[in-house]
Amino acid sequence: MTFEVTDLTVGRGGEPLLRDVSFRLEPGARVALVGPSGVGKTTLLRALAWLDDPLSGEVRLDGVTPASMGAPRWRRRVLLVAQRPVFFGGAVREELARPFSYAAATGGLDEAAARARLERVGLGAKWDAPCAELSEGEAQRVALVRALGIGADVLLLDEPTSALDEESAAAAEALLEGQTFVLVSHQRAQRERLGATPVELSRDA
Amino acid sequence: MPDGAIAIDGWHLAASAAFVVLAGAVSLGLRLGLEAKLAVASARTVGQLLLVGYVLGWVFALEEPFVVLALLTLMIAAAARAAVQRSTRKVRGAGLMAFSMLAVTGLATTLGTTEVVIGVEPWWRPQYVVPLLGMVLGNGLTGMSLCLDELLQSLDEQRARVETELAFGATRWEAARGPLREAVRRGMIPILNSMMVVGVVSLPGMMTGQILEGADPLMAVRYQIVIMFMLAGATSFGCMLLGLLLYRRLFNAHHQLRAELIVRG
Repeated sequence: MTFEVTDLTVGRGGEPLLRDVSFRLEPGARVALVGPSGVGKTTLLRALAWLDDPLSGEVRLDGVTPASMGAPRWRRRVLLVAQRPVFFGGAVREELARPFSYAAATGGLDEAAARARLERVGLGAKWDAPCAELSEGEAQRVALVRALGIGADVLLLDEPTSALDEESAAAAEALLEGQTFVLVSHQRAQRERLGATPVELSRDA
Repeated sequence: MPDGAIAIDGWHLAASAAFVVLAGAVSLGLRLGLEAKLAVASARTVGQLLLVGYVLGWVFALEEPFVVLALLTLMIAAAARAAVQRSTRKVRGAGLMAFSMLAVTGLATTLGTTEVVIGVEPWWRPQYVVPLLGMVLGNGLTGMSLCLDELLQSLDEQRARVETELAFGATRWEAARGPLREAVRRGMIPILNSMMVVGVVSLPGMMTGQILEGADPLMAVRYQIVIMFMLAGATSFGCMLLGLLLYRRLFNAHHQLRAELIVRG
């Protein structure tokens, strides 16, 4: 698996925000997008998931562009995990199975693996709990477990532990072992703990 | 057969206005502050209806199909405008979509009814076509504006939810069908409700008119059944087609939600 971002320029409403971003990820590698607030980190992640079209440049996974792979397949392999998790009104186990309800899904949720991940982030007892009753921090961890269940090649993590205390954040980070990802995190310590190579972003870049 | 409805002259109209004047006096007495609005609304009712009466009289007398078609087009345009303006959110092109859907469903059901069901000759005879289209448009625009409002509101407010589904690999159809279903359902509620209570709670205006004219109630009922089916069909198809057009506009071929096209007005 190779994930290549080449001279990507992203923006909103046709106005460029970030110019010519390039990096490359091999299996197990991770990068952290670093830059001031409002520089366009989330906009860049959205373009990588192809939720928005980039203004120019390209992204390839194993040499294939999202256009030729098709958006649904691309997004299951390059998966965006938004900062504010969205649930669909079910219990935790239903939310974890939700990504397997679409035509693009192959197979179903590996329940044993999902339960084990929930245990590891201290939420083993929440399997049957309604998501509406989760705290913000619990919701973030459930969303991470849900994303990991899909088995994407690359995760796009937007402040994945912003609502977590240190201990819970460490447990969540441990789940990411061996996973390839692009991280947005304001905590330098976290970026370093996760061994993410910084990609510096600035308006003029 | 009785000799039709009793003719109404100026004195009858003045007498009926007494009720409105009385309501205005009550509003003044209780300081409801509604008397000015009541006066404007009454004046508009008189003005608009008189105008329509003269226009219809003129069109009926002309017996010119192109004039009838022009009037129908004007009615559809006014309905489309009203359908879009009632929504609190806007999307460019919605007016044209509403116009074309109202034109297609309105003309198809109206002409289908006059031609196939009632057998009007010639097909454009305004005495039938104009009031029937008016009824279809009135119901259609209510349904479409509710459908439009619901869809734009849910895609705007639940953008994160829709995009979470897209991020999980949902196709645009998989991500949109929930909001679409709700929008079409909401658009159809008024016509379904009126079908449920028709004849029980209220007698429809046209049927009342026919009975006042001295028509056999059973014949009036048959007309009304045709009308209700026509309205239900036109409103359902109108809402579904408008929903599909909006879906095509708001989700592109890359399975992206173009929420920036929705403008809060």
